[in-house]
Amino acid sequence: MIVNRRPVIVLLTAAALLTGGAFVPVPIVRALMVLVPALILPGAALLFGLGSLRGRWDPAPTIALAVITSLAFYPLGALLIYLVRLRLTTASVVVEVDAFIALMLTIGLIGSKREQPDVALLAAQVTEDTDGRRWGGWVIAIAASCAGILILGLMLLPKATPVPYTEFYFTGAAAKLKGTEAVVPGAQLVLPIAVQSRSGAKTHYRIRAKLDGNAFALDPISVPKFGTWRGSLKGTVNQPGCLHHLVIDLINPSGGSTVSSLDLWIQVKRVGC
Amino acid sequence: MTLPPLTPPPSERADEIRLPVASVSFGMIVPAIGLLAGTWMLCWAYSVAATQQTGELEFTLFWLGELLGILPITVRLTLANVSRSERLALLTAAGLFAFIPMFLRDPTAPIFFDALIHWHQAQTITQVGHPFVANSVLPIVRNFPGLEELTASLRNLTGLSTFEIGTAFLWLLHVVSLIGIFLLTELITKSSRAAGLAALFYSVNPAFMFFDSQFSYESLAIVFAIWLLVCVAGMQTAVASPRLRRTWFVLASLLGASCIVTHHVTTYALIVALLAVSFATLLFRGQDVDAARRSRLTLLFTALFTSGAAAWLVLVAPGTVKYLAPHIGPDIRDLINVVSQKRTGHVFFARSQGPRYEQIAAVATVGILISLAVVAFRSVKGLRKLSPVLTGLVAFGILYFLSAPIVLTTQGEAAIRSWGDTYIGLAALIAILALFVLPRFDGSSHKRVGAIILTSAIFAVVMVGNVDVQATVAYRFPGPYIYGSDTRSLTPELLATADWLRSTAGPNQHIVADRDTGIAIGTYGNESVAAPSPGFPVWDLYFSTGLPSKLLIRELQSSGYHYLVVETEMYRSMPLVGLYFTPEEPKFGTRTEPPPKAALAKFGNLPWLTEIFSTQHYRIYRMDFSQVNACPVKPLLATSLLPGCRSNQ
Repeated sequence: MIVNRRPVIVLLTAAALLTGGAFVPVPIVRALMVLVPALILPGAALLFGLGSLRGRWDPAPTIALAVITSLAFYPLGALLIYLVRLRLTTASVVVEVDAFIALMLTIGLIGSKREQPDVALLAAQVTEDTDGRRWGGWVIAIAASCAGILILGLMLLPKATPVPYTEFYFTGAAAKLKGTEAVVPGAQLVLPIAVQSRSGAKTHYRIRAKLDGNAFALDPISVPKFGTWRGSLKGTVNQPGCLHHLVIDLINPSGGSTVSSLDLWIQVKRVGC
Repeated sequence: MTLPPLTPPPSERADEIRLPVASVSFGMIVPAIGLLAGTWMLCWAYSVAATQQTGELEFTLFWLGELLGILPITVRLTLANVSRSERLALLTAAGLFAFIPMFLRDPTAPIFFDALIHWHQAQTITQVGHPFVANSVLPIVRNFPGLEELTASLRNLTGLSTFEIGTAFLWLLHVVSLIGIFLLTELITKSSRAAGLAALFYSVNPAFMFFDSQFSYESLAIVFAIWLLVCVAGMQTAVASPRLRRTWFVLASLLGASCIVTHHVTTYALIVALLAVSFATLLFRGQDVDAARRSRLTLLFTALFTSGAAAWLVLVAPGTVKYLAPHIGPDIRDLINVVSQKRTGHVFFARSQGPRYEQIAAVATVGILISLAVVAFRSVKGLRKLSPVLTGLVAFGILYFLSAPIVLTTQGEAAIRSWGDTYIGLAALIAILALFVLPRFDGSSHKRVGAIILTSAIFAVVMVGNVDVQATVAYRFPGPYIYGSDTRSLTPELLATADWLRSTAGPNQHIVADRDTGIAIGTYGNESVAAPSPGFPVWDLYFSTGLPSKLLIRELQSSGYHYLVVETEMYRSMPLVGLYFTPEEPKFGTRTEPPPKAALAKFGNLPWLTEIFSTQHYRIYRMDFSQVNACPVKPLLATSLLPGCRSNQ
């Protein structure tokens, strides 16, 4: 029986790191502990179970194979969790990964007892040891340097300035109205409205309301930069007829142009309506 | 007859020779400087695009950055006396580098149409804890949950956000896919030089830089497909060792199963590739015992994979055919029109909005690839010289040439999407050239320089042309708002609109919206957006100046649609992506001007619509169908729009 203990120890350590790390309450620590094992471990365990990590394996292709088989493992594992009517949660995923690793370690160890050691699935090329390490270091250095440049570039180079805009809307009950607003003739109508500015400057507007085209209310307002103005539009509906149309315009006082509008249909509660 | 293993040409044997340190150092420094300078140049290009008027500068900086990064790698990979480790390291760097434009496009949130859908689906699956969750924007993703299950699992383990997890593994997938292509071609050519160039060639495929970099099911499935082919090649080369053969078979099955549950088109393209490899193995298998076993094994795996895909299609995803038909049908029609030389009304570069040199490169790319294919076939002089897998892959790659005319003359959405797959076959074609043609240039330094210049020029032109064909300018660069562009129409104003609707009406409300606003409402807004079709023509609400049909109103009412979202720009501009809703909408492909402004004006005076939210570009209406027959005191519309007023006349 020839058992190489090193991969077993590495797999168990990574599994412990993943299992413990997944429940660490500090997000950054949790991510640092779990991300790399999560992306490699299931695939590496599978390769071990299949006896593919025996002998000297080719590092880059073997790691890539471990990563892609890990990424292939999770969708199928999640389907299995679904089939046994469990929810996909941290606990169920951790159990799934740990169970798979335990299974693969068992299969791998039994297999290594039964079979003579063989070459790795992706065997290393003997002459490339030193060269491989040197180039592995080169990749890490390049990746780190490029990441640094990206961070610097994002921090130092000019960024786009957001285009300002204004939101104009009903609030409270008026925003959740199912249909027309029903009013009693002569009673005061109160409509809560809001104006939200996504601009870096304080903005002045006028709110002009017209009922069936006739003046209903007019109010000047000021909206702080990146702030919200909240208020109410008040008036009474005394005109004859049943269904009235109230149009509320948000007006730019300098040019007199309408920035945006709201409207409301008012059903008067009176005989014949 | 036994197929002899391919013997690397004499120059290839240098791979196994330890190289002098000075040579390796030179090889380290030049690509390193190129990659670092290229990264900075790309940062600069994206900053210029985001802050200045659209012009040529961002394109110039972009291509300078890309060429600085990729060309030194191309030069090193072309040389014969470069170690295998260096080739793998350079490909790893190329894979990491290729993701930078996508990362810089928006480093904070998903913005691509497909990415948003999958991001939202992954969020929902993480929340509810099971995979089969309905998606109103793109219903088909419900039946292919592989990407979302992977993301939800990793989210549960790491605690990172969907966007962070997606960015991490997509970046990693870029490297893994290139190593996969390297290994695939190395297994079938026994040449790390051919494998390196083939993998680098795959990295300049149209989808690699943007489309397969987005958080979308293709981006994951294509890498499964590549590695599955590696496993099939491994099965064939390891046919004498039962343990290795079994191992490759198990790995291929795992990857195949995941591919099936992840993406439909990649799965079906893979079936075609596997069939091509199986037939090649059957036709060119030789006479030995191993050859027969090799053939049986490949056929068995192809049959298993095809059965799995068919079972998933029938049992889990029967709607796939209905979903794919409107996308593939027009492309097949276009292909027939191109072949029969009928006028289609389309023009060259229908998709492209890039600079002229990009458009020229796009056409030149097809010419170059045709030339390379001819040279490759002439250099081989008989398919029996090749391994069956290589022959099969090349046959699969030939499908690219069928789709090229469609892409160059029309939108060709399905055709373009197929290139991510067929480029695996074209990479095998490049491997043939590197194996049989490139060694002829190794004799003298003049020839070597010539080969380097030619290879670099080919890679540069193909990269520029392919990016132009696949990624519109709005997809590639940030910049001012463009209506119907997916990426540049996803403005903070639209996101605020979606956010207001969610916070006011609550999530999962039934909403009517066009494609442009629907993507934000259905994902960021977490609402259920109407899926328009000829049977449920909600586009009538937007396009028509009249009332919608009674049937549509009844359907909207009975299905609980209470809100209508309108983007006013719809009535001023044509959408950049060519459609307001779906390809099934009226006048799709023939529309020359936006819908009439009267169609927008009607919203303000219909008694069953109340405008409850408004910005400069967006409006939200509350629909109350009980008022369809109401008549206002002062009707401002024709009685055809106000049927309740007819009796008053």
